Amino acid sequence: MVDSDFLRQLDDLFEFDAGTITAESELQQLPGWGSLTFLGLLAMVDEDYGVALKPQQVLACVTVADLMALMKAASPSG
Amino acid sequence: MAATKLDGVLIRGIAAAVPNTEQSVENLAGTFGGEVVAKTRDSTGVRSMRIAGPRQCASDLCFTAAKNLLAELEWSPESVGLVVFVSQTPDYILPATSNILQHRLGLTKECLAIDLSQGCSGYVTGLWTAASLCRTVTPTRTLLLVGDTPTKFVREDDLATRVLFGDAGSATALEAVSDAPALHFLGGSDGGGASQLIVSGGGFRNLRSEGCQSPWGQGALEMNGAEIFAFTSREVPQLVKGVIASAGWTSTEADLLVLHQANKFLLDHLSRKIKFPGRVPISLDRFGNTSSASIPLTIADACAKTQPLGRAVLAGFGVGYSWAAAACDLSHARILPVMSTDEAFDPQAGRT
Repeated sequence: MVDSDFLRQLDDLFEFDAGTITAESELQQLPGWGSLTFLGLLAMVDEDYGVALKPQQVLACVTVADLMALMKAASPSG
Repeated sequence: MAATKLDGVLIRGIAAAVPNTEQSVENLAGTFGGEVVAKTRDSTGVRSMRIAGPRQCASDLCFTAAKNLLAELEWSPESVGLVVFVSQTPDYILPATSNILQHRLGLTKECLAIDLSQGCSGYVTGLWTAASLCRTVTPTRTLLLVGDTPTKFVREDDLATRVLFGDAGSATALEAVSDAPALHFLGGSDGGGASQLIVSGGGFRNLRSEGCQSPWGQGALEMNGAEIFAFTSREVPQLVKGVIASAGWTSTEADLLVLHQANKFLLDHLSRKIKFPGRVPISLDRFGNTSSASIPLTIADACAKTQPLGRAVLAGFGVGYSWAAAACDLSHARILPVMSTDEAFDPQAGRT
């Protein structure tokens, strides 16, 4: 996965301007984080990256970098 | 997964009934705020739902559907040998609602009456059970009555469930016919997910809850949307593909895929994963998630004008966790348009 592409997708999901979310952003502190964005994230990661994240694993991530590391560890292509 | 191939049982008809009272999701803006309601509506896809009256039960909706279906098929009550009622919102803890419906519908005392407790997967589980028993009873004519009133156990302050659920009931008629096309079923269970969608009050595990706010003890409906999403995303695509393979069909040979109407966001996601080339009808925009009734309601809503139907794949999934799919031929099924009613049974008077 390309980190910058994923960050842009996250901006889209949260309806932010491109470049708002960085690897250091704290996922659950983002304005708009809630059940709908959580579901949107799970669906996007599944459909675009072929990774079925467990909700508990996502909730254990503090930063977006943690989330990307989780995705890379779980991804079939790394 | 559990699998069954069943020969010699024909689906003769399907009917669905909803309460008269319609509630627009926008009416909840005063409680939750307009912006959050609008955003949630865009995600769930539910614009309105039907709400059962204070005395109106799932059985009342099923009764109306059954009465009209019996009339349409010209089936006399005496010709029915089995009634199966599927719901998680029955009339009482006891007796079983199927016994009450047997009497209300004027079915004979020789009729076998069975209640099943299943929700989102309940229509298919019920069809599986009813079709399996159908050939073994005399007479073989069978009524499968499936419905729920989930709006009665949602918490008033819970946005996620209040903008999602609606009430509905249904009736499906089955009959043993020797040359009927085979029915194929596939399904499974994972009670490890029990706590992710639960009404924990009102049963016997939590008999005396502290600070009861509702008839359901401390537990009105609790739903963990993310966990349910993950479970359905994992199980449902292989369930649908599996039952199509069991039937020996290619995906282009099935005309219709009817999914439990969980929410639009999930249905869109599942549709992209399954890539079903035929019709995938939607009814939740006007009726919400009606739990066990959603599949027959969607068939009645989408198909009453396009008879006869062909090959259909039905897939239910959710509370339990449980999941079940059927591959069936609806070419011989009479589909009635969705009906609406305010009828409620009065047990004292013994009549509606």
